[in-house]
Amino acid sequence: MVSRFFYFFFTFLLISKSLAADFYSPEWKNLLHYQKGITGITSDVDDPTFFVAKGGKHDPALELAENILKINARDKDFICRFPARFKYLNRTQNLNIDESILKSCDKYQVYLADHYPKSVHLVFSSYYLESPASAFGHTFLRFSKNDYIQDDKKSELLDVGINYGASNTSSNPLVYTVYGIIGGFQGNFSSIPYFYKIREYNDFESRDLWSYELNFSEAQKEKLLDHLWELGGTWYYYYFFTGNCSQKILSLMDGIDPSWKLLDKLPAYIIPAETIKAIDKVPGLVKKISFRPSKRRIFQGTYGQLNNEERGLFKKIIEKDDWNSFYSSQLSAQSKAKVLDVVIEFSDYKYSKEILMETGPRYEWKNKILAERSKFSEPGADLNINTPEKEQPHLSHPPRKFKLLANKTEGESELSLKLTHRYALHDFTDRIEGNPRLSSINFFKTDFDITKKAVKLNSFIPVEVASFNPWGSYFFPLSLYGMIDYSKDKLNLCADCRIFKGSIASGPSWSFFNDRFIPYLFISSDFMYATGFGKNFEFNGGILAGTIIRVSNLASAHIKYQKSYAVFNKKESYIADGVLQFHHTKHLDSSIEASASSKRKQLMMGLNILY
Amino acid sequence: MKMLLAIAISLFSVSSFAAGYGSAGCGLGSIVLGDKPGFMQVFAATTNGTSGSQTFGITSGTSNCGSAGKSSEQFIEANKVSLGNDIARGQGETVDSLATIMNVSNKTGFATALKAQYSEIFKTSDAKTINSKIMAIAKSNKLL
Repeated sequence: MVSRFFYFFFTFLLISKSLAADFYSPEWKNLLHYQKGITGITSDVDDPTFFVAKGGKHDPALELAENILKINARDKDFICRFPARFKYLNRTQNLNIDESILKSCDKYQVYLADHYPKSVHLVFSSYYLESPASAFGHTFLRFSKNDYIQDDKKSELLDVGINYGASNTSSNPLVYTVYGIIGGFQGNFSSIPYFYKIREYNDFESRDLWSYELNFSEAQKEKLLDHLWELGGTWYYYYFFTGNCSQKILSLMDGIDPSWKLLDKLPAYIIPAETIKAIDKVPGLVKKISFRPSKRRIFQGTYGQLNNEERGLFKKIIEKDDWNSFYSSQLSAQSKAKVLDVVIEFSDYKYSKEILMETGPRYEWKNKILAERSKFSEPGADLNINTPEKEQPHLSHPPRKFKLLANKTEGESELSLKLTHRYALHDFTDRIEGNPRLSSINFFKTDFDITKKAVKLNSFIPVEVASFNPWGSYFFPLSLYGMIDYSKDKLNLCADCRIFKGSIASGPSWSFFNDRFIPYLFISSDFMYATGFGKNFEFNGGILAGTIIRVSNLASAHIKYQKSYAVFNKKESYIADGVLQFHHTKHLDSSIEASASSKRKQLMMGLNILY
Repeated sequence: MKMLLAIAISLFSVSSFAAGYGSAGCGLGSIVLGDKPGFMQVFAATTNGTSGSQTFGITSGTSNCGSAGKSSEQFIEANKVSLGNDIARGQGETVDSLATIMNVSNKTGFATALKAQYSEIFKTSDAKTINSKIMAIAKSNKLL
């Protein structure tokens, strides 16, 4: 023990001169994922075996010194486990160890052979509101193993996907949410055949995939692989907001070139689309953007290719399974093949689960269609869907919104101010470029009323989500709206009290003119609690109707009207809201808003700053 | 048979990250979230027991797992829906990729030959049988 101490001390003295610079070097910081926190310097990695030194998690200098000792001792286990550190220290500390020692690391060599990419892509899987973990989208890496075949998506199936995610997940969404927030799960990197990613996201969940090809040199690819090997064998506590998939992928990239400062560009809570923007801001880093459509988009796109007669035939097959009409039809064989191709896309999208499970009448039906399709030699429908350039996720507006409005309340002589802040992500009236068109998420939205006399909290909304799924082309799904809210009473249920409220509404919605006109009609229910009620609990049931209107990229509007009946207080009430928001730049909007309820009427106008 | 296949898949589809070096392997668990069964759960159900949420393969670092997808049978199992569509249509990326895995260079000829035998190939939904039928067709058409 004593001799080890002296040995360490001696070595430390020898190298301390260069150490002084190096344990603060961005390379070392990024390879070990040190960051400055409230309690001092600490590494993001939670697995103790990631550090050589006892206490290395909090001590970059000590960790550096002990790493050098391991390398100087030519500790093969260490060198094979941490090739990126080995190469970095060997080169910067002039340790003069022949790097071919890595050739004898069998597993590392197998890994390199399996993973060495022709190109590296950062992939964004679009917003998916059906799962709480994916509502903000998801990012992962794709290692392309194949040469381009004209269009690179042809070869994507045989690529490798690199994912970071929580590994001990619960199927209970509440448990998942709580654990995800407090760091109750372990997270780690995984490498899986990319076709699983395609089948899962594109097909099963019907999400679009956007690939951002990164302009990596061979040396950068080597660094990425070395560092991924180090991180792949370790674990972190998983935090949904701060230590999530996108944060880890970005910190992996920071390990390649510290000058990119990718994580430094972002606030502590990481939204996937923001990491794409961070990459996009590094000059020359993004080489090419490619798109892989969801099943939903493929069905809609191919259905759009059918003419009226073909649509008639399509209808006969999917509604009546009427093959007599199909074969006696005068349409050309090419048209018939096309119709069958669209039926195939329809069934894959609509009955994805039954077809995957290989059970039930729809699965049998699909097989029959395929057997019929195989009898036609014609090429059929064009399955290549045009890239929706305006939906590229890096084009989206910033997620945080600060709103300052002048407010005139009916019956009050003086104007007041209304100040609102939300942390994320997108409202229906915000600019749609790069954002989901049919959903809105407001996360941590706080709203204050400011008068000469006082500043009062008007409402606090931890979460408000709307996921619209319009009717059309044989799909009649329900759209959903939900909100948790603590706010001033608007319904005249109590004098000047505040109400805890959980609201759920659902019903049909329709979309016209490429998502520029979206009316909806929902049944609504509010569960409320306030001490000011006659009875503390209240249930409010009614209807909620509204319309979203978008005028090119200039302005968006959302009007809605809710009429409901409070069961215990036996009171009818209504709330009507209208927002007209003008888009000036990505960071600046202005809005005119009106709100009327059984209790008060207000007219507001002012600025929206997105940042 | 399905059990064997499940084991084969679990051996092939794991990563080879730092296996044997670190304390943790890597899992597909990140995929299974929310209350609705995800792709991996449904997929696992069809493959009779490969649980999507377990972390497997810690000890299999030496298996050729990173090159997963180069096993045609595993590829067929995971891509069966899309492969069926492509074969019925006589073209597509899934049938092209299968040709790559099977080292078939004449991809058009491969797709055409399979299309002609669509109903024969997909009489069963068992990936192993589908795989051997496709191999037999490729051989009899002198594509292999």
